[in-house]
Amino acid sequence: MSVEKMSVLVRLGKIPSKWLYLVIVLVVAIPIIYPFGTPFAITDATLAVYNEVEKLPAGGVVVIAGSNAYGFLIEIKECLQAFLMHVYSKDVKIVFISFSADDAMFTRVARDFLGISQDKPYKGKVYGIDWVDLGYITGGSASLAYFCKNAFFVTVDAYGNPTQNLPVMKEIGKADTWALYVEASAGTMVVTSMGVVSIPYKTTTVILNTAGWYPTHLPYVTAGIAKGMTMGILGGAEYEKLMGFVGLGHSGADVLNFTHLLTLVLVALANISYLGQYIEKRKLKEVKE
Amino acid sequence: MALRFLKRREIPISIAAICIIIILLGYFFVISELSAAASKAQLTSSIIGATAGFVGLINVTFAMGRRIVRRQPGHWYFATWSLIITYATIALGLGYGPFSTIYIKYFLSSQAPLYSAMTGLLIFFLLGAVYRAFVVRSLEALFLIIPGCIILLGNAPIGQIISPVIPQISLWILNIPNNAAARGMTIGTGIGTVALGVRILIGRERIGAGE
Repeated sequence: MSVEKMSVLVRLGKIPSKWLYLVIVLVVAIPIIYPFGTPFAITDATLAVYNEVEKLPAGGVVVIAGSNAYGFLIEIKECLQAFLMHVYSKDVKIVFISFSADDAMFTRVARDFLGISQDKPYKGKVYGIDWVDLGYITGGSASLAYFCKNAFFVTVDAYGNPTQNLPVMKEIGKADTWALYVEASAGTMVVTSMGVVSIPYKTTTVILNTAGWYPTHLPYVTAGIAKGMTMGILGGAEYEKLMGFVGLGHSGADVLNFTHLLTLVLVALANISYLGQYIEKRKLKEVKE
Repeated sequence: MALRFLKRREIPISIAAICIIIILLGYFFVISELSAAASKAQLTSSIIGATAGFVGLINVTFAMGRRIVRRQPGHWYFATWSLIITYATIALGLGYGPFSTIYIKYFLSSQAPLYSAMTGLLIFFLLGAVYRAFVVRSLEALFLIIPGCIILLGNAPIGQIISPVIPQISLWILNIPNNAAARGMTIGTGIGTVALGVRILIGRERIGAGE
């Protein structure tokens, strides 16, 4: 059938990809350029993450681990930044460890954004005394399991300093003494860390997750193995709201609104088209009979 | 003769079996010697993991080098570029350190935007696929599409604005039917992993032995 002869119903179901892509670009770009500030509520799972940080004991150790590719990590960047602002405001020792090369760079970028560096104190926290970045460690689950028993397994930090010389390293101890374990990544490493850290050592755990992996890892939250979990860019927006500032997470929430609405509109158009064509065919069949 | 003996598949299978037994026993029984041996096995695994990077590098060099030498049409220039990038990254990392300003700038202007762009492109394919596939052609499709749409609305703030019930229904779908399926998958994966371990233990699994 030529395009001219197509009925409106058929056309609804056959929108050319180029027009579809143009609409997607507009729907993503407009809320980024002009944020609408759509109101949103804070979910219980995100609130639980916030509350766990609030409950941290003085001098407690917070281990922030992650492993993922940069493209997926970008979804939890806003959440990680808001989370770091929160954790750094507490009287705790912070340890960063990465199980992928991208993640090591990612946490560094998130810290740079907040102005956290090893050269100058941030919120009174000094590198080596109050926090340390152990960088990328190969070996995945085996390395994480060993790190849970002996933090000095990592001999040099991300900046090349011997860990023996860093006072904060002496306070890390075994995983059962950690005040909070943060899995700031999505994917299979979350499952691994539940089995290697959270379950055997009963360490309080929270997950900063992407929206795509959120349903897969939800059983760990409902079972109480992880105390809380944030969901992608919306989780970032929620954490920003809890911390009382408006960041890029809020723009992300607007983008989510528009893209999700567009998805629903497209589903509706495709189904109207299908239903219309079905009725037309039935009528045609009845006329012929 | 010695080389022939080393190539026997029983050797890697035995090593794997011994490591599995040590780690399993070290997990279930509190015996200091066993725990120490399990820790040693985990540490060795980490070291092997690090060494695997070098093996990968050699492998990539040979694979790409072959394409360049053979001037494989449509491939050799990509292979050349791949090798240049690989060795430039290594040189920068070794020369300046992975947390030096130059290395971070290099990463943030290459890997980070490329990977982010690649992930970002998914939205075009996903929305295109949803438009063409989310059509109620059967009753089963209806049962898939309705919860899908509710979760879509529940995951965006707009769902709360339309009706406060939508996020609740979305959460119920995620917590009850989704949880049931996800738990099934997790338990299935766990049992599968145990089965694989047992197969390695009894020498039935030969992939690790290079077969």
